[in-house]
Amino acid sequence: MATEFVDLLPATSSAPADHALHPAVLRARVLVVGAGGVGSEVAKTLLGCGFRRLTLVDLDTIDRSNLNRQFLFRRADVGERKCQVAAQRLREWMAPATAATSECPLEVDGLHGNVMDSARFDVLFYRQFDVVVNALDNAEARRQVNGMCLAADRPLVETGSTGYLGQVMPVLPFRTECYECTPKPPPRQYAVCTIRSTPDRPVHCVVWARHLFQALFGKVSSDADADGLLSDVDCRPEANELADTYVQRLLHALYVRDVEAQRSMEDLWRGRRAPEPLPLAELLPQAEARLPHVPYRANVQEAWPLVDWLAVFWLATRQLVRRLSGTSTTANTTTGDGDGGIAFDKDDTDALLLVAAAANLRAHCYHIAPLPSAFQVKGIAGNIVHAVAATNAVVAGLAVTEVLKYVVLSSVAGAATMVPNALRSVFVRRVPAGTRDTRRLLQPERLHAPHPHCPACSIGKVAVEALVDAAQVTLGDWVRDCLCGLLGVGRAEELSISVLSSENKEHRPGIAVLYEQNAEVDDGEEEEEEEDLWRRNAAKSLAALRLGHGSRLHVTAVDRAADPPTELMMEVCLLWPTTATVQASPSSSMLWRVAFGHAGTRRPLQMEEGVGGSGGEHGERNEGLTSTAADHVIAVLDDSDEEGDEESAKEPPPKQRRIGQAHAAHGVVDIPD
Amino acid sequence: MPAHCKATRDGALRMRLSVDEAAQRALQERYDRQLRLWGERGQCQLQRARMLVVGASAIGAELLKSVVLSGIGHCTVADAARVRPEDVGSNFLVSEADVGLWRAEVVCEALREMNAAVSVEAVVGEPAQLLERVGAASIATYSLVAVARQPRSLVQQVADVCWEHDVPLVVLQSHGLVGYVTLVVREHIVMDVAGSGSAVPLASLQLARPFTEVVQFCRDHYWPLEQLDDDAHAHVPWLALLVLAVEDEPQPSVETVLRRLERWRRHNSEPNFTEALLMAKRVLRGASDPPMLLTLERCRSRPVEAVARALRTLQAKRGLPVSRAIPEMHCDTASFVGLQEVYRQRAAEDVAALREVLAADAETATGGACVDDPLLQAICDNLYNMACMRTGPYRPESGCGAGKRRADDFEGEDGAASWLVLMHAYDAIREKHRAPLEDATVLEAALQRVLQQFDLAKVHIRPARIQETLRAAAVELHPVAAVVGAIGAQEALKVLTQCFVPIDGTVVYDGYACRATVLSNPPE
Repeated sequence: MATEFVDLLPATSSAPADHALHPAVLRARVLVVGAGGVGSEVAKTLLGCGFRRLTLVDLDTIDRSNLNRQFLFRRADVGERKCQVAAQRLREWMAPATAATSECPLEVDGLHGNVMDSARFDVLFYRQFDVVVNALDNAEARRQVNGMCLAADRPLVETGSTGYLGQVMPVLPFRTECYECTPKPPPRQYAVCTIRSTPDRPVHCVVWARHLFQALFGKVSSDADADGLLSDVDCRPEANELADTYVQRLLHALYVRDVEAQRSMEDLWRGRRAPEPLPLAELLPQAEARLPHVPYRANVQEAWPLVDWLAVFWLATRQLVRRLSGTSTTANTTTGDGDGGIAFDKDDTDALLLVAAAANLRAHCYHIAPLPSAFQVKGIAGNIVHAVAATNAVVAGLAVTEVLKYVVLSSVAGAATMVPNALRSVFVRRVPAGTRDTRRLLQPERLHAPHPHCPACSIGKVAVEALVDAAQVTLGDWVRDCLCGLLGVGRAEELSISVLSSENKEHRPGIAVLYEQNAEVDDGEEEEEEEDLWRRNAAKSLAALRLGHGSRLHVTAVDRAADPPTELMMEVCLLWPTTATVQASPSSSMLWRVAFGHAGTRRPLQMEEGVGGSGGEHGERNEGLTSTAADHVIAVLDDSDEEGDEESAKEPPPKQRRIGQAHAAHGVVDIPD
Repeated sequence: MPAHCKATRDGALRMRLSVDEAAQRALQERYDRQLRLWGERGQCQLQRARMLVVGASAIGAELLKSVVLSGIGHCTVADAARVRPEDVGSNFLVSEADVGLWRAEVVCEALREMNAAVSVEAVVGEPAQLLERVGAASIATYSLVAVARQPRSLVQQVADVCWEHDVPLVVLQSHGLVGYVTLVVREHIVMDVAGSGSAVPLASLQLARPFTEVVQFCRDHYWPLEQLDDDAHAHVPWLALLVLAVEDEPQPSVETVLRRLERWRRHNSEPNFTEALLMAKRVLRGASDPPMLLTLERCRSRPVEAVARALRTLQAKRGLPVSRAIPEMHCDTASFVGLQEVYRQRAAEDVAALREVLAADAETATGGACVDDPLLQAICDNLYNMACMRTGPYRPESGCGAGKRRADDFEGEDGAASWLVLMHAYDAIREKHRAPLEDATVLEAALQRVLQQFDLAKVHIRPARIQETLRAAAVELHPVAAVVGAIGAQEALKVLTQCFVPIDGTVVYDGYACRATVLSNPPE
């Protein structure tokens, strides 16, 4: 029975004071990523269990809609940085109680920052901690932390919650399934042509309006209309243009000119009603009269008349133009204004009302009913997830229990091998699941073996320290010295390198291909393109390619000469120690050093993506709950505002993409973040 | 003070606040994320609810934290203890400086700070007098009572009063890494089994026997179909097509209706016809009473039962009330708005007619019970989304099912019932001996007594679990308190918002396996 019970109890039944707690718990350093609903609960419960060394990371500020569950925050804190207020409150709670035992003083830190910033939150940062807990609300950040924990070889406890549903999933790097081992459903996507030309549901108009917002007020540098959703937008406000003139110009362009253009394409309207432009001449004076009276609130559930939407559009545009004109000089972190643009935020009334109004006016032109209310638009455009305090607390309690098991067991000599068997993934259900005889509200599942072709954890992970100046070494040098010389890969006939993350914000993670070398005789055109890419980048310095400390590169080397042909994939994290140690003139391969990690192993070439996630390869599955029903909670949370009902989450998992392959997103658009 | 609610003329439940618009807006923003889960009606119910929590240790504090954050109207916290050093660091709502103060008072202060909109009140005193201080009679005034980590005798006392007054009860307990939550409801009406934002139930459109106004609207706007041009023909909403295909048939058969729709259809690329054909099958084959009507008629709640009987009368007179919302459909705005208006008006008339039926035999039908408008409106709105649930009364052995349980509940993988009896056995000893128990034989003897008492003498309890229970010594661990307290809060919220079906008995949490198994406690 030794393995049935993990000895997590304090040595005595009295106070959970320091002396009664396991020393490993007192010493363990835990990183909590996200100080929101689940994050603040996790932090509180960790301290309640005796953990003393805690770091919180969050980039958000406190919003009023957080107060229904994020119990560390008060009304007076609205607008403050989450991580700092949270750390402060936790210290106030615990510091007096732990002061007496100076052996392990309380260390609760709040770091305001974005975990996507891999220069600041690099592998070395993650290696300071014994365990990492994810309390995030989006898939991109979850993937990032998952990847960093793998690279840093640190265990991760992943969490998610929506409504009454929740999920906790511990990941032991390379020993158990990681976040990316199971494909997640992609964000809801709509065909471009539906959004651009033939919307027939309210949600299509909201997606369009969300893109419109980006094009009109978003950051100038971003390629807002990459998918060509909006017909030639030259609609950003011009310097010195009066806001009211601008509103009228905009309305005319969007709801008269563009709609007429669409209407003229008769092919589109066979069998359906052609859109009709707004009669602006008649409506605008009415809207103007309504300006002082319309409710300017983002949480309204009832439908408004068309004229009111027009007035709301007017008012929101005025506000946004005023804010936009202020952004060129100052960056305001609380409203997301800056860099010559305004970031869309579902809790920003102006932004949300502009989107809601734009969507409603469009829905009217295209005869779409029912018109969405501001409340509904907020749900769709903001990817709003239902959240209640109680579920967050359940999820956090379960996550901390897993952390506790991990820390205690790992510290016991000889027990470390038990860890993967002792930990559990847990699903929190709204309705008990299972047979009539065992109905479970919390459904545990043993940890699965890593998926053999997981894009994140089946590949090599190596952190390489550079002793050379990034401005003086070219990508070609790096391939020769580091990849070939140090790591022994790259001599293969096919080699491709893509950027997972770097200083260069314009590289979208997983997409930007830096380098491709292909010996295979292909059709001429493609080869030319690749050679071109190689020629262009090989001579550039790493600095010029915006690669520096924290950059993560994905390398694929294919050897077709081998029988069978093999490939090797790995992720290389570049680290620059302080500049003082960097030598001035690079001349030898000794200028790169493996900090930690391994390059992975060669394996037979995968001819195509056979990564469907079928149960058989995953080893033992706990019966009772199939993976499909349950796997989706964390995924559902990311991208859906719809009721994440267990029954509806059973859609078959989509085919998985491999990192390094372009997203091939032609033809589909998603709601931009 | 909690916000009050009333039904406005258009029937929507709004929060009527004595404060200004800005404050209401602040509330809406604060509760935005949960409004999307249980809707305005659920939030309204919650803001009117009064809850009594007996026990303010970590587990009670975790329960309170979650319901207060969600915006319950009022909480009374009754607790017999003063803050001890071991509460600090385990109970999040107390800190070092509070040691020696009444725990309930400290907890209330922290709750006030967490959500100023909630009224909280502390009741303190010696254990023996606690219930007296709360006032057994006043228990009837609460919407829900929770008892967290209290002696078995007190739990039973509170449970009996709750049962007598139909007040839902949640019992919470934790022992080391295990714990349980028991929900006892003599009768609980779930208004919305599917949650806010779920689809309009098809049956609530009453399409098998369409009402006069909708028939009239469809005739006026779409009839005769053959005179419409192709564009208009393709855009007749499916709902209207179905109404036209059904209306002149007293007993429409699926075949007739399908044939008719096929005949009207001009070509295959008219999606509204495809939809109408699909819906025709679902509507006409599934035409029956709302499943709830029968249950509601046998309801203990006098007002609900009266409404159910009035609904029968109404059904015979003019049909059951229609939904005041219609589903999303492919049609132009004018059609949608028109149909929406027809349904909204009819729904309002249905409610008025129902009110008349109720008034006509107010004395006999309701037995004098008052049926208020929000209830009437809520029942009409949710006729197809309602459920009624009952559990047996609270007894220590409720979860174990006294003899009815299968051995598997004790000896199977979960063995949830074995944890339950072990916790009861330990508590039984603790009530006599205050000191931590060291001797396994004492616990085993107590266990045998409990098993006998529960009529379960034949079941086998794993020795390892007995050992573990002894070792855990009923200590309250923070992560377990967090999970069990929050599960208690989830169930309390399901009951108070009347949204979603709560558990029907006891859920046993096993922190070793991170498992929570439900053992039902069916009504006798």
